Amino acid sequence: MTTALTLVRLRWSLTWATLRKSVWQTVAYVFAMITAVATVIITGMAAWGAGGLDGAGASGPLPADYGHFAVLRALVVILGSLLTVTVALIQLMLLGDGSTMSPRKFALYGLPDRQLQFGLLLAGMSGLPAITGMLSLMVWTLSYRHLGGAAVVTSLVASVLAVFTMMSLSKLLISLATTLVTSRRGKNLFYIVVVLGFIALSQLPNIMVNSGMLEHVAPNDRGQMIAAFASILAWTPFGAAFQLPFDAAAANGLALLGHLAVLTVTWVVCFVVCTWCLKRERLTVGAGAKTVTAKGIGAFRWMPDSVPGAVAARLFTYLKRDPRQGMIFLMPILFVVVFAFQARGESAIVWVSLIWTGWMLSIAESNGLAYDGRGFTMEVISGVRGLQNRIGRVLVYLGIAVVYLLVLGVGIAIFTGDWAHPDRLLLGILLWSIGLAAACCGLGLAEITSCVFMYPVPSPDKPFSSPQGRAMAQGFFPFIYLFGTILLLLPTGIVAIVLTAMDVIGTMFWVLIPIVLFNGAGMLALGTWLGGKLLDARMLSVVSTLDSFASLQH
Amino acid sequence: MPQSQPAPMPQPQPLSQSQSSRQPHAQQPYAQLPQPQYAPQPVPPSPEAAVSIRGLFKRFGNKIAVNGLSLDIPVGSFYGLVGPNGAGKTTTLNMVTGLLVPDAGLALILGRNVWQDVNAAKRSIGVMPQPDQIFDRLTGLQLLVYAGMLRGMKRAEALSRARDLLNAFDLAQAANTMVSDYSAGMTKKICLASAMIHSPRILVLDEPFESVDPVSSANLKDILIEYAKTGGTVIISSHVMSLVEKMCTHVAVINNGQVCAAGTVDQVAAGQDLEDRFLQLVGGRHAAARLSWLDGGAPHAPASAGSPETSPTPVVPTQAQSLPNPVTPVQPAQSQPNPNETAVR
Repeated sequence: MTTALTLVRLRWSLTWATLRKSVWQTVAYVFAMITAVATVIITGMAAWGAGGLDGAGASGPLPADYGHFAVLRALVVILGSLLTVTVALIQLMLLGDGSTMSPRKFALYGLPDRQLQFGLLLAGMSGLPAITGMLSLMVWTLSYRHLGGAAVVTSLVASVLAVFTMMSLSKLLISLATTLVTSRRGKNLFYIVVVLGFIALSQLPNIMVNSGMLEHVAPNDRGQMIAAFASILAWTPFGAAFQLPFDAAAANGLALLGHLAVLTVTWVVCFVVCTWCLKRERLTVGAGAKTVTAKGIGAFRWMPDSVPGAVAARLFTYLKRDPRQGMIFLMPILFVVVFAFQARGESAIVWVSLIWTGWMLSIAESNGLAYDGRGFTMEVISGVRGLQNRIGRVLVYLGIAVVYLLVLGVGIAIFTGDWAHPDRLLLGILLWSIGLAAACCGLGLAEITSCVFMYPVPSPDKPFSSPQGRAMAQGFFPFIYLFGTILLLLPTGIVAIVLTAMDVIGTMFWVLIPIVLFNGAGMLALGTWLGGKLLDARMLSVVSTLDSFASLQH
Repeated sequence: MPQSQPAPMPQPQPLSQSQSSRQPHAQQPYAQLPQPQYAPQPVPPSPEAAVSIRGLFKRFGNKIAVNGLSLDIPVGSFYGLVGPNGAGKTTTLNMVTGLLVPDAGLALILGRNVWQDVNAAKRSIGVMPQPDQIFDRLTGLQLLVYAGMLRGMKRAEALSRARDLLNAFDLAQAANTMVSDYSAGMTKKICLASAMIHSPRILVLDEPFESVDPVSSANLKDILIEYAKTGGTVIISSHVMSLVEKMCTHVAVINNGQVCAAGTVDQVAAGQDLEDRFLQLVGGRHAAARLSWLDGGAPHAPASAGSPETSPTPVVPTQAQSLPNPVTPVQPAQSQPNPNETAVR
């Protein structure tokens, strides 16, 4: 227990030390605290409102096996389960193996694995996110105010248990991910699968509703389905903690004990597996590493024989080997699939996915130099000019955008059958052109923002890790790229408005094709040139920033 | 002859517009970055030197890292920069190689003001990147081709030289292996190779032989010595005094951001062992701090000076007993006094 408490103290000492060192970290922390307080207050207000739902069960479509609070129970268990899964996955994807309290940092001290694991778990529970979670769930007890004293008391205890379960599951996933997936290629693949899986999961409700899948189910059956689904979830580690207050309210002691047993087994399994992972990692460190070889010089052979060509070849080679950025290039396929599911035979909607593709394609490039890391120093040492660097990078991203959009465009034309309908094909080409222009505008803007609005990224070897100070900037800076790209398409937008005002948009929309392409090309050229100038002026500041980012990754 | 007590260096003074326009060897106006101020020095900069530094000054917050440092590095010399940790060696090298803007002072490389056209200056020298300053997900061959092409070399030539370098550095077997899978020593070698691929006239190396095995290290030293014999200038920063003594023709001892002594190795050593001379110049030696609780566990260990029962008299370290060496000792490289040599004290 002493070791565990020492780790908790260490966690907070590190936090205070970081706050003392950096004003920006202090600002970010204050912002996080305000967000936490707001979360608790909003949850409290929502809980007060949700408490009023308790009368709906009697006359609503849900079966009354939980009396008049059936709606509340189904909602809480399903949403609570979703919350648990989301927290665990987000922890894995975004926050990951925290760079400060990583078990590897304690390898030298010979702490017993169980003590270390327990300490790290407790340190996690004492953090701001966990405290916010517990307080929010405790405040949520307000929604049970009509369910009786037992439900209220159980809910207060269940709040802690729910967060403890989320923390245990998160630690389990992270431990398994870092311990079992040891090869570099395996890590890359695992990262891509997890992120894409999460996106697909989050899109599932949207697809189900918009695709009309539920239209064939009668309203009463829908209620039965939802209640049954909640009952199943209540017996899983994800929903058990959220079911406890309702067991207490229904005075069902057996169910209460059963659900508590599910939770206890979950904690024990998580703890045992995490401890096993710690031991395995300690004993097999470095053993699983396999060397990666590649014959010849790859992209350096066919890229232009110039300085920008060297920059482009290096970037292209890296994109193939970097899971953090490689994932961005799988997203467009997902967009097309999601839009195709929701299209309901309207082919234009599928074509619209290409605009999203173009818009999102350079989002990693908007922080591209941070992904390069300290390796960028090689270019600075070699006296590469800013414009040469920018041209090299644009070559790669523009090439990828054009090829990608062409393949997707041809695929959509064939898949939707629009190739046989000139009118629909012309509209498709317009939407394709807007997609390409969005890619160009985004890329042009990214060549500017990547010199100025940089934020830390995880190391390519540890894509699940979370450098300190990342969350704040990562939450804000990409919006500069996203909104800025839309603004850069404004010239085309103005022409479209004029055509609409003249009431000729229906027949003259094709005019927008050359305009939007010219718009995109112009913004790309401007962004590349300005980015080059900016990089020349900020070259050493960029190196210094990258050095500071690198220190956060260890 | 170098003196143990350096003369006080003139402090950088703010310049008027007319003064700053009289900077020596001003190149075409390609000022991308803020130009450091330069006050005329008692000894003007030497355009004939490989590197000529005058009144270089850099402050980080309240700490002065480099305090009006002046130094001339002759062409064709093998020049060692030595000094304790935090002395200002790396900061100086960063300012000379265009990686850090000085607050004041002047740095000429082959007669060209570094900060007038910093990219041109960078292309004329070869700076060895640190192992974490390279793109280690490229293979060794790709990294060298990349380094060459970045310096404006044509692909075919870069590829041919990359293969030569890989052979010379005993890395041919690992040419197609990703650099991140290299050992520390191999990584150091590929870093060094990447600094040499464009055959620069000046090589700047920061601790080049750290982690490199003795065999590879000896091979690399041969390459560098050959390079210096052909007129190339090698500047190395190192803590290993024996290496500097063996390899370098010249040495500068830097302490507290200033040059304590500079000249040929013999001049600086002043008839002593270079390491002893270095310790004399920078100071800081003290008797072993004996900690009462730091106990190796041997029975009847002598009572420590830190305990209250014992005297705090420091123990004078005895002369280490040298073991007979079965191998013929390597003769140190002969220091070649350069007629253009300027000892800045």
